[in-house]
Amino acid sequence: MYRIRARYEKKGRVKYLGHLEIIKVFERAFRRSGVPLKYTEGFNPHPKMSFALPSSVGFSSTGEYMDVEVTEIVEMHKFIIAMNETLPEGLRIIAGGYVEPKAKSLMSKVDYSEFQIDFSIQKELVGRLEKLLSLESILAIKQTKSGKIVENNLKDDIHGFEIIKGEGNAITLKVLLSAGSRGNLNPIFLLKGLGEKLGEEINSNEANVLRIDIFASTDDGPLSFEKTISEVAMQ
Amino acid sequence: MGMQIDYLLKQVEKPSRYIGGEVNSINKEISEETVRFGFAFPDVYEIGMSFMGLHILYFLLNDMDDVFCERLFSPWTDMEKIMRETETPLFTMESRTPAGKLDIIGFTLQYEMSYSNIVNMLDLSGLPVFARDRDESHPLIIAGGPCAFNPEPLADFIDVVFIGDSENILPEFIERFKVHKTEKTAKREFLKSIVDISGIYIPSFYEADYEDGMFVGINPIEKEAPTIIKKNIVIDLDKSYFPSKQIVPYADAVHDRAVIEIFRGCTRGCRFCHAGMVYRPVRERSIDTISEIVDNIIKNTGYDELSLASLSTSDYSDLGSLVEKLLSRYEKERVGISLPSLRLDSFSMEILQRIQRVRKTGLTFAPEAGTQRLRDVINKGIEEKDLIESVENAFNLGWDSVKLYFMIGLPTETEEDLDGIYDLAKKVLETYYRMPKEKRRRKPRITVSVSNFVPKAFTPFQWEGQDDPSVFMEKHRYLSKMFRKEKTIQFNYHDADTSFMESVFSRGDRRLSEVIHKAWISGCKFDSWSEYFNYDKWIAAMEDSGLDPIAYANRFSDYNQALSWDHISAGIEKQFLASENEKAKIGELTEDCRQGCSNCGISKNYRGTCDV
Ligand code: SF4
Repeated sequence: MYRIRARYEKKGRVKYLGHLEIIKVFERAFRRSGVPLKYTEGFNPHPKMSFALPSSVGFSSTGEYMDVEVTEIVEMHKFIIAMNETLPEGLRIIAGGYVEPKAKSLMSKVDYSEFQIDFSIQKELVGRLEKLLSLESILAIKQTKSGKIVENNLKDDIHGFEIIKGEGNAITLKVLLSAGSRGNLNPIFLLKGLGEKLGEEINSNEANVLRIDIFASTDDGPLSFEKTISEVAMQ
Repeated sequence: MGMQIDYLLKQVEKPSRYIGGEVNSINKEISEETVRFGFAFPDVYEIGMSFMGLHILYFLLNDMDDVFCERLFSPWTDMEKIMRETETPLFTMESRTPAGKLDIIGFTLQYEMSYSNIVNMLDLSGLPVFARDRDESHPLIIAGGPCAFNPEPLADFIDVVFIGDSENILPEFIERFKVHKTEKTAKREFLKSIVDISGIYIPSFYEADYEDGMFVGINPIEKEAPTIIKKNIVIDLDKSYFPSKQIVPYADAVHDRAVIEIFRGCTRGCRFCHAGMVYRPVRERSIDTISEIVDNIIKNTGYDELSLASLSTSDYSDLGSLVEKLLSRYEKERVGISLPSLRLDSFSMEILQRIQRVRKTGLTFAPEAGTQRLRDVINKGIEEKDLIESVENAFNLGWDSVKLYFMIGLPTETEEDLDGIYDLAKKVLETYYRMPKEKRRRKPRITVSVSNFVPKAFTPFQWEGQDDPSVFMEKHRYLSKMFRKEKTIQFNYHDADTSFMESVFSRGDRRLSEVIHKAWISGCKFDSWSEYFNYDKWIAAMEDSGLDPIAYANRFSDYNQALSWDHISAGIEKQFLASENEKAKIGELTEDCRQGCSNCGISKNYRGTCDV
């Protein structure tokens, strides 16, 4: 048994697929491509796949990762070509390699997500936005699942940012945010919080969110998941 | 428009219903000559995509040069709200073209309760809903499907109706449409020029007469229009078009699997069954053709389940060999095979046993009636001992969940027949407990589903009356009470008011177009969804139009009464239907066509097509 780790992107119409839908799309793409999948035992056998913190419905992404088990080794470039030929438009494998079959689950290793958020804001506010993001703390009100209202510091989960001015009122915000089980900041929630502080609502339905990549935290700083592939690649 | 749709998609509950771009969906270069066709399913994406006919016609049309067929579905209410707020018209899945810009919109009529959605879709497209208000600048609105056999309730909305099969006449129709499009001939002239195509019906070429509020007849008012429109049929299914692909849907399609139609029509002759009558004669696809098609579909879709579709799978002449062939071909690839509408006799059980090695499916039986007497009335050739034997077999093979389907309100039904439903379910349960203990691993799950009899046009019961909703409700209460004491039997039933409206539409005349329009204005849509069906609004719309709903649902006076579908022929003779209805009254059975022909009229009207 061998385990493939693949990085893929999700762009255009398919960004509206929910995670369960993505799983089905991949299952069928594997079958069409003829990749020798490993199946679970039992009455309803299904391929063994796992995903690393899939990005939300409505976000584009160039940093989605999945592991899938195969029964025999397939040459990686052939695997990528075969898959990209059959995946629906918008889903594309951009890198892949083999990892230790017993490697830790992908999910447990995610610590950061990097986002690029395109939205519009009045020109005069850009300077204030920059200042706001540089503050020690940005307190935002949040309702927990149990309905409790808590205040939390958005800044705890912002690990870097960059503002790029575009044409007219368009701006691009690049941010590195906490992600995964140890802390998570959703960029839509961030936009809402920032809007409140600026006293100017930012319409998140008009914002475009792209997840650039996800990272694991290491002693040398955030490590792109793609690096975890090449490091243990078997061929 | 792309940007704007993106904005909408971020605000709806299930955006993947609207995105398109699925595997095998098609996008085409559009030129001046391209005939733009919108295949419209008047319900949500998940339901429409589960319908085999969509895939057949989609690829049939797109295989033609100069035709681009795209899909249209009813947007769910959350999407519709935002569309109306932002003045976004209904748009196609493929190229996101506003539906009003298409040349042709074709609705499929699968069930009556989707009619208000048709009006809603026309309106969302920015089109006048009535045919008489549309001109040359608007798309041609066409329709087909099982409900098209009595299309009268939709007569005022639809320009062209296709009666019967349409795979073999659509190309001809499109060719003529192309000429009309390039030569810019008047719409009415075009319509006159197509009446000679088999199965084509132009509602506006006919006028209905009424006396004292009663329908008394319908006649052509254009000299080109035929007095009787004969349904069109595909004679040789083997040579008929079937795509090598299916669009692989997103969202949770109700049926999300490969499907092949193994035969069309049915030889059983159940007296309540619309499809069984209107799709005669039986036409089979050969094993070789089936396996070739299936091979392509599996390869092109990546599905791991294949469904063999037909009205009565067990009747395929060589089901054993077919299943054997498919199983040995797909066992390794782990493609499961499902056989819906299987009649469970010992032979079918053997097949099921083979199939379940790959994948386990639920079991359904449809005795339809609770007593042998009533089963004879409806010509359902199932005997209790066969049923029990099959269930016993299934239990022994490891199944523990069984669904039983019944119909109530059938002609001649008595209290005894209702009790029979309970007794039969109880016997099924007891059969389970008769098994040795070590085989009873779990509690059995037995579901009894009861639907309400709806008299349908072109069936022997087309003259029969329907129970009043209050009577249905009383019967539901009666049965519920009996089943309440059986914890292991799950009992459910269909809504009586919905069934009542179904019977109004299934036998309705063209005055109902006004009713549908009024009901839609008052807010009716998604009537097949219980959370949206509003009975009071429908009744109000009928009364508002001066029509008595009861008159539509009641028994008809006699066999000579004019029927609003008399100008349409499904190939079976009225006389045959009447004699079947008489035989029903005395519980006399009619043989399966495979045992002997009972001269329904098909072999007379479509010479050489019926050779079972
Ligand atoms: S003509 Fe005879 S065999 Fe053919 S469908 Fe009618 S009853 Fe059956």
